[in-house]
Amino acid sequence: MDIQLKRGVLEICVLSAMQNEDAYGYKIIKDLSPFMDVSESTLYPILKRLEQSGCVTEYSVEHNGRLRKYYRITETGLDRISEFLNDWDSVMRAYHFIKGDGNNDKN
Amino acid sequence: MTKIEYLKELKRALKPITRVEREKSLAYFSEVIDDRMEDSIPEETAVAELESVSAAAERIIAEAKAQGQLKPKLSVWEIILIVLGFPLWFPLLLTVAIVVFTMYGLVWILIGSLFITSISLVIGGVAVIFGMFFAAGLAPAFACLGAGLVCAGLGVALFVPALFFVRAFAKATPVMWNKLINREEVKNNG
Repeated sequence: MDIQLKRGVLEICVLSAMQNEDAYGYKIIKDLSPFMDVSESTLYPILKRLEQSGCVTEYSVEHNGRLRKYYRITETGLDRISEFLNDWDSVMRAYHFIKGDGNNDKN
Repeated sequence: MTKIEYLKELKRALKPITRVEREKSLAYFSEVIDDRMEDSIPEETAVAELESVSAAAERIIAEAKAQGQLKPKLSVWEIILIVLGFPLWFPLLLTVAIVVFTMYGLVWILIGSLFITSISLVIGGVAVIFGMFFAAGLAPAFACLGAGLVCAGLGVALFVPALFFVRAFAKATPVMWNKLINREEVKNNG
């Protein structure tokens, strides 16, 4: 997959992983693992980017005598997801066109 | 590889990025390993399942580069200023270093003196106790015994705080050294 496209999709997946509840690094990886391969070192830069673009905020909570960083999705983050879903319709139309599904229908 | 070894290597590999970013990255990886271990994964496996240090560092550095979080490099003017200012800053730096090392040495000398006092008191005390056999009469012999016991007792009593100070200062030395180095790093970053 094209790197830019993959990066964009990964960012949305990470955002989606915290859509229902705030999440921490390891939880995001576990939630995403049935759908895609994401390593800790791939996730870290994504979280940093999302935070810098205002899509998520972070806060620390004490857990078992140590600090655990939680990420919370913001309004901007939620907008990013819906934007992506809207854009995806046009991507899918292009996908069907590329695959030649429309031509098959005619035949 | 243990968690500490992984983090140590990562820290070394992340030298090109700013200290704040480095600490953040290390905190993230430390947390991820802890979470894995809490998930009943043995430490060695938890670390082995992570990407290699070099691969992880490469990603972090690439992202830091994109976000302008690499350590600033010295400009030509700064290098010229440092070279020209050498006669001024070098003696100052040397003086500060000498003062710091002298103070550090002074503390060891004080602790050493405490040790020597303690040992001298014990040796002296024992010698005085033996001296009782050569005393002329019973009263001076008992006086020798008493004085000897007091000296030796004081010596033994002093040995305990002397040992405590040695241990405490030996432990404090690496901590102080690390703080000194880190402060230098913060200054360099600022």
